[in-house]
Amino acid sequence: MADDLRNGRPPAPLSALFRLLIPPPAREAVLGDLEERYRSPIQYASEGIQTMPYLIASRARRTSSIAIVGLQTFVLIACLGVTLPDLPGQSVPSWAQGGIPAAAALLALALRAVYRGDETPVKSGLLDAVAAAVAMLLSQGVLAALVSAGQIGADWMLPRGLYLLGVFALPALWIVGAAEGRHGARPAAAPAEAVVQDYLRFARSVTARNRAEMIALGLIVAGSAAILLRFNPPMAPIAWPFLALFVAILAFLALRGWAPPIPAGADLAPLRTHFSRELARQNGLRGFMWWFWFGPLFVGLVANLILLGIRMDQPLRIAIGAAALALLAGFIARANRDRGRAVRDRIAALSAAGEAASARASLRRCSGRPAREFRALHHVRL
Amino acid sequence: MAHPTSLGQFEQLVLTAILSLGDNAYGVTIHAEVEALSGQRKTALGAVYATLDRMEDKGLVRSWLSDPTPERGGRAKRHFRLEEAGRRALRDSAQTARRICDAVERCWGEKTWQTI
Repeated sequence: MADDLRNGRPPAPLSALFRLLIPPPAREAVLGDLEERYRSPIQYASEGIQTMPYLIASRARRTSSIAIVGLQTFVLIACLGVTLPDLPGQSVPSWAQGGIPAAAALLALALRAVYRGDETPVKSGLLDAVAAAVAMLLSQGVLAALVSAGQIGADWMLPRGLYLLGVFALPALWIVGAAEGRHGARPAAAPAEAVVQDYLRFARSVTARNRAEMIALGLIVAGSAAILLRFNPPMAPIAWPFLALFVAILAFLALRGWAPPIPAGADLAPLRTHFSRELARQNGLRGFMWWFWFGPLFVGLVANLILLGIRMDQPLRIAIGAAALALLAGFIARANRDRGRAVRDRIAALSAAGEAASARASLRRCSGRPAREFRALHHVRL
Repeated sequence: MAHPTSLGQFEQLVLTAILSLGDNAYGVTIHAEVEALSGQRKTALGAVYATLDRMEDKGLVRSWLSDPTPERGGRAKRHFRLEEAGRRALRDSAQTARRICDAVERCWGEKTWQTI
């Protein structure tokens, strides 16, 4: 540190700390600005600390989508039993038991959004799920420590049965993170060769997302079937048809979920038409999948809030249930609208791309792995 | 033509700073210029960054990273420049400010500026 002071440079440990805390896209420029303004370690530390909340809030605003955060909230609420009715003699309400790990997971997801680097959507979704799981376990660890210290009662912990349900949140969070988000809306490039590369990128992301969805669906089907067979719960007659529907969707994704290869020998115009049609088809499929993924949650909200509210004569529970249903539908519609807008922009950019160059010429100019991969995958004549 | 985006007072200051700095508009210089324009009122550096991000999202400014410079520990500068929408918004705000000044002068006289 003494060397740094002599050199008029910020202390290395402080710089390293700020490097860690500043969101990646702003890191280089902000660290440089702070260094240029450096006068003393105290001034540097104070300015860095004051700047951090603005940077984090700004990054959170830029990376978060209300619809996605809303859907993540609903997944956590459903899987952590926040809407479950309280049992007789239960000293801590269900909403508090589930609400604490849900809030911890949401905080972790918000921080993930702020510090997310340049990741593929599938990896991003996977890391979201891992971050949420770690946060939920940490929150339970803290509660367990407080319980053992005698500060709070054991009822504050999530009931053991809900841990099993909580596991279902992870594939659902993975899918929410992998399937949507602003990183997914890359504008189509105008130059002809870029259209080819753009389609390859798009096809790769569709393949990765499709695979992720199929794995998540497979896990949910296998887990649910094991629970139904082992415990045969009262809801089994409703759950089996749902599982059959899940299997049908799984089969559909396996057969029709992929982005098909471009017709052999395609010129630029048919290539753009093919790309636009596939963008629109995948957008429609995505829209359907959102409603499908959250279908069971609608059933759960109706059963746990509205029907139970009617049975227990609790108007507040009924009203909360109705509001939750409307909110969930609103979030799904919003996510679909946001993606639809991005897809329309992308199709418009494709249409605006120059008509003159042909796909053949673009492929000749195109070099490296994408072109080779394109030719191998799509049997394009040169 | 679409109506220009209406700007808050701080956004007006930041856009004016970028306009007056020209090619040398980046975090440190914009912050210094904003403080000068606001009458040496203390301004948080973070507030300038947050406003620049927001205005970039609105399409009022554009940013790019320069080459690293030694005096900044080899780190790049994030430069800013006004986009056409930013120019229109700033012009609209300046015209409004001029109308306000004229109205104030009509009521309080030209000497009113000497007391501020």
